[in-house]
Amino acid sequence: MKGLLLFLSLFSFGLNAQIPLYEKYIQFEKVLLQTNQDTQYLYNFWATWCKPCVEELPHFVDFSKKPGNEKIKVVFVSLDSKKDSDKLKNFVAKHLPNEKVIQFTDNKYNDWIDKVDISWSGSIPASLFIFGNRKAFYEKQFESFDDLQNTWLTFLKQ
Amino acid sequence: MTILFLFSFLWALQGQPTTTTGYQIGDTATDFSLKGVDGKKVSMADYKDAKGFIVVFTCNHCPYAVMYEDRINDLAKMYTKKGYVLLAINPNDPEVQPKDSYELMIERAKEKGFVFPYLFDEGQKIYPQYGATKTPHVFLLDSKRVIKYIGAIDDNAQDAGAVTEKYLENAIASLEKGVKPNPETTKAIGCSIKTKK
Repeated sequence: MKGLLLFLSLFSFGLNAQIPLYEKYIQFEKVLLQTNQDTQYLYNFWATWCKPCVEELPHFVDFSKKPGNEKIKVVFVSLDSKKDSDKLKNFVAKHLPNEKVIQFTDNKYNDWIDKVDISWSGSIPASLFIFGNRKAFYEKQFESFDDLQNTWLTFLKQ
Repeated sequence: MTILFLFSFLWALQGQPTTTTGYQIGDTATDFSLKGVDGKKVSMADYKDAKGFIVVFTCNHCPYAVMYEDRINDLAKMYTKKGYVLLAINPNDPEVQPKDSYELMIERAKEKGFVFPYLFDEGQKIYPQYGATKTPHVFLLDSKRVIKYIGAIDDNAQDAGAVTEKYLENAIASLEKGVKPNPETTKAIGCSIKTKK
């Protein structure tokens, strides 16, 4: 009985999966900083309304699924505003059902954008690679899976 | 002689560097002659008595540009009265983003009742000189076209009601007082300018 309840609650949790929401940079920063030295992280900044972002998302999904890339933690950071949360949820259910997605809605970009990376001029798509003390930032659209995979491998060799 | 010729030939092939950092604070901006939505060409030189120019690179399609449309129109209304001229320029290549065609600019200007000239950077010659990279991206120029402020309009694109710092308005107030704006630059948040790859 207890097992069934647990199963049911897990099931309903899955259906209503909430996308973690970070309204302030100070909260989001904790995500960025809680990096395990041995883990590789890839943060992709995107939004449902951003055409080049949506175009490159499948390359990131392929990348996270590629055998050998399991150890890389790929996080899709949506900059959709709070009023678009439902739109985001539907989009994620359809296109990123098994991916780690978070929503980051701090509108005061000029207060935090330099802290993510000083070179970020303020457009998306943008991607942040982190591994140990190494960090690389790309304010660009990845053209293909190969483009992303090769950029990642080059990053690891640095 | 042959070598010299070869070198100049290579140089010609290479042409001008395609990346430009654009204007910095204190640079004098170039004037332009761009076609507005009413079909007439507009230049800054047309406004002999302007106290300054607010040049806004913006467009139809970008959600950030759309979020700022009403604010840009309000700024134009407010600062025209004070002797400033607001000029909006669409820098995008409509072959890359069809929503930013000249025809759709005309439509958008009509729908929204734009009170400012909405100009088309046909051939994309002007925005690289300014160093604009986004829509919207603002450049504040004094009466002699010296750049005084570059960046965002304010600190909250999504929610006009939650703005706490009006960067552009503060910069104009500083210009009026004859002091340096603080900040003189911010990062313009928005969509990248669309060009052919």
